[in-house]
Amino acid sequence: MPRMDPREAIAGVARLARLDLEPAEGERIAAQLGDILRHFESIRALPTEGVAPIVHATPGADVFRPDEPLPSLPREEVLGNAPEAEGGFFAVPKVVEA
Amino acid sequence: MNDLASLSATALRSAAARGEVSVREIVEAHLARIASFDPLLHAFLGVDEAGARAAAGALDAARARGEPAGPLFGVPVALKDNLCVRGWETTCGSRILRGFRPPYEATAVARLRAAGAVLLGRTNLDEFAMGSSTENSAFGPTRNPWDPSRAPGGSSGGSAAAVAARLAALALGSDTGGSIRQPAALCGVVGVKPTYGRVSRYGLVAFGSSLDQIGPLARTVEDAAAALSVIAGRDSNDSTSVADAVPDYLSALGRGVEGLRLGLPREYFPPDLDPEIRGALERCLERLRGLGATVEEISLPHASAAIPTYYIVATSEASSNLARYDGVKYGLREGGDGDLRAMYGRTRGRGFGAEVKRRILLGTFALSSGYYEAYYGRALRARALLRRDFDEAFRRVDLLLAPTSPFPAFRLGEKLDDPIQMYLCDVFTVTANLVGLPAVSVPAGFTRARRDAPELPIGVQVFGRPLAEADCLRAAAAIERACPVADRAPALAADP
Repeated sequence: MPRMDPREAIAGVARLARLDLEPAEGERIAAQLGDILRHFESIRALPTEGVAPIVHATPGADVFRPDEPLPSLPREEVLGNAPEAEGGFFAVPKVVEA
Repeated sequence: MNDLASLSATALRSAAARGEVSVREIVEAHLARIASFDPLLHAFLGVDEAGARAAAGALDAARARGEPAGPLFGVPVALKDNLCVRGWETTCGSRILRGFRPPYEATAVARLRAAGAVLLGRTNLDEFAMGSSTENSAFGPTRNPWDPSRAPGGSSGGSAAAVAARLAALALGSDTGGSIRQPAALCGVVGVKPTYGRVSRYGLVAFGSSLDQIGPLARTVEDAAAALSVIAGRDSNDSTSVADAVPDYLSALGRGVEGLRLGLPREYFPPDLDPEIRGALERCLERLRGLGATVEEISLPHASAAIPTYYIVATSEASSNLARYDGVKYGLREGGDGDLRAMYGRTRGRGFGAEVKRRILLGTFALSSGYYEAYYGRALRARALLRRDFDEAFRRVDLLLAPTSPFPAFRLGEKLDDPIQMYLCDVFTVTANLVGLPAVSVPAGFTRARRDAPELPIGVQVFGRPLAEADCLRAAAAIERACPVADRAPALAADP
C-alpha cells in the first residue's frame, strides 16, 4: 500500500473535492485521516489476490422500462430552490470570457 | 403517560378503523407529547402540526363516508429528515441544504400516506446520515429518552428517540451502515434494515448508494412488520428495487422459532464485549433454545475487515454523491467574488460540518489516482470476501444472531472528537449493508442501574438471507415474547 503524509496530501485532496478548509481545520483533519488510514491498514493483510471485486451486494442485471415520455418536474419549482436563477436557467458566476 | 400515545401503531390503527377513537384525537395526543417533551429531547427538526391536523381531518371524513381504512390508518409517523416529503423542507441535518423544498416525494413516504398514515414531522439525524450519535447534526444533538445525558445513537437518532418517547407511533429511518439498527438498540425500540432493493430509495437523499436502505423503527415487531409491508416493493423510479412479491410479514410473526437453526458468529462476541450485553444475549438464546431453536457457533473469518471496508466504500460513494452540493441548484451559496471554483470551495467549506468533510476527503483520497487500487479496489475485494463469509454461514444456519451495538447508550460528547471510536460503534452492523442482507434489531433487555447510569436498553440483531425479512421478523417476534421489555417506557420529566 502506498505511503503518504496526510498533511501533504490533504491540500491536494481538498482541492479535488472543491472543499475550502481553514488552516487549523486542515491540520486537524489531516491528523485524524492519518489515524484512520493507519487503523485501516489491517485490510492489507487480507488474502484478496484472485478475488473478484464487487461494487454491489446484489448482482443486478440491466433494468429496462418502456421509453415513454413522462411529465418533467415543474421548472418554476425546481428553480425556486436555486440560490440564483435567471431567464429559466440556473445562474452561476461567469466562466467564459465574452 | 397519555393513553393513546402509549398504544402500538397496530392498536391505534384498529381503534381508529373501528371508529373507537378519531384520528384527530390520536394526532392531538402525539402533538401534545411533542410539545411537552421535544424541547428536552430534540428528536424533531420540524413538526407539521397544520399538515397533520388536516390529514387527520381528511381521514376522519373518509371514514365517516364509509371508505375503507388503509393498513396504517390514523397512525402518526415521524420521518428522518433525509426523506423528501411534498411541502416540507428537507435539510439532512446540514446547513448546506437548509431551505431546500424537494419538488417530489420519496416513494416510501408516498406509500405511507396512501396507507392512511399521518406524517407528523421530520426527525434529527447526523448530517447526511454520517455518524452514530446524531451529534453531527448542524441543528444540535438529540437526547436519549432513557437518559437525556446520553446520545440516542445514530444516524436515525431522532426517529429512534421519537418512537421510544411515544412522540410518534412509528418512524422511518435510513440505514447505510447501521443507522436504523444501532439507534433502535440504544433507544430500546425495533429497527429493520431491509434487504438492499426491498424498499425503493427514490426520494432518499443519497449517501452510499450501494448501501442505503429505508426501513421502519417501531415499538413492537408487529408494528415494524406492518410498516415494512406498506413501504416494500418494486418502484420504477429505483432501478435497484427488486421485483419479488412482498410477502405477508405479519402472518409469519406467530410461528415461533421451533426448528430454526440459529448461528452465533464467534467474531461478534469478542472478549471485550460489554458483559451485560453478552449476558442479555445469552439469556435470550437460552429461551430460544427452550422454544425449539437450535443454536450453533459459526465463524465469519473476515469480520475484522468490516470497518475498514465499509468506511472506504461508504466514503468513496459519499464523496461522489455529495459533489452535487455546489451552490448552484439548491441550498447554500457562498459567493466567490465572481469566480465559479472559488464559489464551489467556499460554499462546501462553509456548508458542510466536520464529519462530512472528513468523509468527503477520505473518499476522495481513496478514489484518487495512485491510491485507488490500494484502498477502494482492495475494499471491493474485501467486500466479496465478506459476502463469501455469509454465503458459507447460511449453508449451515437459517439466521444469525449478534449484538447490535458493542455497548449501551454512551454520553453526549464522549466519542465526538474521536472518529475511530465513533466508527467502531458500527462494528456489528456495517456488514449487513456491504452484503445487502436484511437485519432486524429488537430489544432484549436492560443493563443494571449504576451510580452513574440508569438502566439502558440492549438490542439483539437478527440477520437473514437476502429477502428473508419474514424469517428475521419471526425470530425477532419470538425474542420480543421471550425477553419482554415493550411495556417499559422511559420516565420523562413532565415539565422539562
